[in-house]
Amino acid sequence: MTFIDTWYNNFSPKLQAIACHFGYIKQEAEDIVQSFFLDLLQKNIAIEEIKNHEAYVVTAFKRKLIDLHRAQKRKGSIEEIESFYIPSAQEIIEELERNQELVSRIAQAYKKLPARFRRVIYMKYYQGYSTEKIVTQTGLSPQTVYNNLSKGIQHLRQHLRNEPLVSKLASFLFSFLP
Amino acid sequence: MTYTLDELVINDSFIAYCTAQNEQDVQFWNDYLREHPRELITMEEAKKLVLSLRFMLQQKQNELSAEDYSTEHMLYVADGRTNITPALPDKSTMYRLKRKTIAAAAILLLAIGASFIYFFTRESKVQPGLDPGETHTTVFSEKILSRAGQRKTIVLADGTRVTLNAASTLSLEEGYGTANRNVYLAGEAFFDVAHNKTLPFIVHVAKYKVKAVGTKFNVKAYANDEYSETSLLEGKVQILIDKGEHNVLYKTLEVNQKFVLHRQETVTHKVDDDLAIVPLSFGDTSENIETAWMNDHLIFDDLPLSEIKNILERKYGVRINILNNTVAQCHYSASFQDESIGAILKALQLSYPFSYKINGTTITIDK
Repeated sequence: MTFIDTWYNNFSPKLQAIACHFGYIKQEAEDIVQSFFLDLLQKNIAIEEIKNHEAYVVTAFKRKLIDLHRAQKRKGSIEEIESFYIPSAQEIIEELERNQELVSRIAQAYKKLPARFRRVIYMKYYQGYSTEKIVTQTGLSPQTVYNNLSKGIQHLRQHLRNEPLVSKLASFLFSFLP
Repeated sequence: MTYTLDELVINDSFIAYCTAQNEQDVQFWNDYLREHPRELITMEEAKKLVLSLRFMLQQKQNELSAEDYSTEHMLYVADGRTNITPALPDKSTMYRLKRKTIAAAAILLLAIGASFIYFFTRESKVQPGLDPGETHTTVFSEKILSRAGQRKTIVLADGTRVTLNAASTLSLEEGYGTANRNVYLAGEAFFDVAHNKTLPFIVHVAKYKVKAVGTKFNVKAYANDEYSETSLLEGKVQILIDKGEHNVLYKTLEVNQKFVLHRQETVTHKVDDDLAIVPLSFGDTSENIETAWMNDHLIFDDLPLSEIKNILERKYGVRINILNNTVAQCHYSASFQDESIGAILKALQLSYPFSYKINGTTITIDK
């Protein structure tokens, strides 16, 4: 299996979704992604020089969308495609490593939560427990655990939104949704 | 049916997808995205939130775990984890103590239960252990031991390969591979870490931590050695020093560098440890000295006999007593492969003479 196969398996759903984001219907999006990977097969890619595979593939795909646009099959404006940015998991972590301000904002929002919400959030995201495991650990009912988690996350997002936002935080955490 | 952002964030399968921990979950969410391309943005937002929360809790917990009496610590620690509170035992603390005892007993029971399972399935044990400098109890899911004269290679759940040198212990924190990649080392080991940026690999040793993403490095931290070292062969690692209240990033190591911590503690007074970054050493055959043990090579590069003693004791499972202090301070440079302990001592005698007696597994060295 070549690395292109691996890319295809890992990233094609995301690329199709990006194409749909710019107005192509599902079938068109599938075709575009297929032909995109066929193009890649023709290219001589120096795989060992690519540090972040996901970011590389997404960027190359954006170029493909721009090419299509230029070829009069226009969907989405060129500027829109250019500025469209979905960070890969690796880029998200790198941003968090760089941006202490951002991390402490999230920590502050977390600290404002009532203890019952913090407890289940801590267990899920720090200790990595499944919801069932939290149920057995705490003795709470499954519904209570679910509600606490769900409410906790809602409140957390609310706190983050209401903060006098540092622009970086805003653009990072809420780059797409209103 | 599609999921809302809030539903995604707390969905166990979705969390596993975000950290790419489980093939099936990744497959499931890729199919979901293929079916519902319009959900891309919601999924990406949810992913950011999941990764941010995990990152924040990991970082803050690491920072706070070194703080002994921090009230802030309580913010992050879920009930049931032990915590030391310096206060007079009034009614409420008595109640808390009781609860703590119950919690501790529960952890112990769990551990005993689990150890039974492990005892019959593999050569490892489970037991709760205390990491020096941390106030909460870390629950280990697995403990791998090597005896003197023994070397072990194990592949962990995430694909990380560890070679354990003689007389060493490696403990994995509960949730290793899914929730964290925290390991605790006493002794020496070589790590070939599987790449996963969303789940950093952290080796905890006395006084510092080594944080890696995907790389090859050697950590030597025997309790009875004066020096504790981390050598980097490939990739990048960060050295985090335990400093009272926080972990402080000391340095990011470059390839072919090593971090050396010289323990300065004496019985009478305590001074700051001596920290340094130095290049790795290479022998005549351009073999790397720090990891020569992996190939059964014993290389002494200008080492005092007092340090050679520790290495030989571990490698050959013997006890060595050096009666004369001048002899103990003599420095030797030599390299051996597949030699008996007798042959090694004979060879060392040639460069600076001493006498030795072998009595079973005890060796006595004198002038």
